[in-house]
Amino acid sequence: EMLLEPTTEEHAYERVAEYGGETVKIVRIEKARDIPLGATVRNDVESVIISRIVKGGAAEKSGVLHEGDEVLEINGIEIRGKDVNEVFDLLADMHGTLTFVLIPSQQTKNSPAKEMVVHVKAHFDYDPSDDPYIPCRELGLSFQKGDVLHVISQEDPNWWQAYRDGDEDNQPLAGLVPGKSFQQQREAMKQTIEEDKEPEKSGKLWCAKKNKKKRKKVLYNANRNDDYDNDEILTYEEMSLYHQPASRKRPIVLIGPPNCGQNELRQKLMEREADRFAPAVPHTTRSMRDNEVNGRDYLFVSRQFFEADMASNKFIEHGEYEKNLYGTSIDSVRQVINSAKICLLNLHTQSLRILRNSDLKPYIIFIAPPSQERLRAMLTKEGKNPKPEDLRDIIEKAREMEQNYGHYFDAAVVNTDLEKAYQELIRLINKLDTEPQWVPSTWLRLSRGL
Amino acid sequence: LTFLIVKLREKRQTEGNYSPSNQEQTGSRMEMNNTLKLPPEERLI
Repeated sequence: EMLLEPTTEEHAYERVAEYGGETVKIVRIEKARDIPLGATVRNDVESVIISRIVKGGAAEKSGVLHEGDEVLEINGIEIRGKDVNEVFDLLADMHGTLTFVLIPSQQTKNSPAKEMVVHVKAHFDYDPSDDPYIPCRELGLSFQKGDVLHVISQEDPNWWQAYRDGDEDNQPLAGLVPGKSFQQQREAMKQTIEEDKEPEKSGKLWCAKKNKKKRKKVLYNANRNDDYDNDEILTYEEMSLYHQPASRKRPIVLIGPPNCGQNELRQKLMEREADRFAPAVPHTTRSMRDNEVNGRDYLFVSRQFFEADMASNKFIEHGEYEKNLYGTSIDSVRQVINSAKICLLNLHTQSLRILRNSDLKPYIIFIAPPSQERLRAMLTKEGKNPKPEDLRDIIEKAREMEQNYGHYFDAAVVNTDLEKAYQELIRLINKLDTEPQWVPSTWLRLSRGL
Repeated sequence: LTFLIVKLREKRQTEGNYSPSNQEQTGSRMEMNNTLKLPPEERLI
């Protein structure tokens, strides 16, 4: 009998033998008490088949079990004919050296090429216990919108193997998450179904329906799976780590519903740390006043000039106030970045898309309201006297922003107390100097230099 | 590679133990089964 290749570990070995007329493979693998080997089994009629090898387990490390192998016996116990649930219970109680008798998989394993880890940010919540489609319920990995996942295998395009960022150490086995195209397909179908179910209504509800109608036109198209521009169904976005250079600070964008303190927080930052922060100088078509300086207060331009810049998408946002145009241009932000200061921006949600598609690498912080009661107390302290419906409006607005633009946010600060929120904000901003952050991979690929 | 993925996908699609009558009883998600089949159950060992 031939000795094993030195690559296989000592406790795992392979042998070929005859077993009831069939050529079988006998392998040994060490199993720790209460720790799964990291392989899944499925039934195929009477057979028990190795269905999946999970990264990070003994099965994967030993390399002796393969997807498609049929399990005949384990430690002398007949496995063929058993239900996978029985096999699950059986193996849960076993430990030590396990001897498998297998009919090796017929499928020729495609080259075990080193798979690249892909980092993605999830743009949806996922709860495997609520998903009838997950092939193996024990392996489901739950995550929330905004979590970064390390996808380590996409071998099964429908079910990726992944770790949640920061979880790798206490979670040796990878978990299963829906693959991108699977998730898109599923969401597309859900949307179509919702519309079909929707009974014909008239009057007031029409506006709400209109929104859904629009979606229907963009039905799932299998050929466009990999298109990240698919705005209709958000699944995953590929991310990379980016360390902010000392001389090029990322612009900080504060976003939030009115009356939640974003203006006050911006003001505080500008006053307390005037040497670090600077606003982007806006453009205006208004005529300059006596005490104003061109280039400091505003960039005073003609309406014609302003409109030309508008047409060539030079503004992150712009608007009209008392018949004059005002706007913040990408170049104004760039100038602050070039001066090694931190550009502070308060923007509308609609501007986030433009900003994020620019090369400015913004860090977007959502300033969220606290509970209704707390919000009332805060506003009262500021001398305002909000009605309950105003408070509800603010909270509802925040919910909508989160729902529609949450995938753009890098962090959220709940403003329960202005000073506490300020401290949290400063902590987040300071962290950009010391810790690399996840940014869309496209930002680094398309890096044109500022 | 694309070919492989297509192959894999085809394979998986023919492997499901698809039983429409069961799914009809479970109700709510029936509509999705037109194209998304429940995969065969796997258990972790």
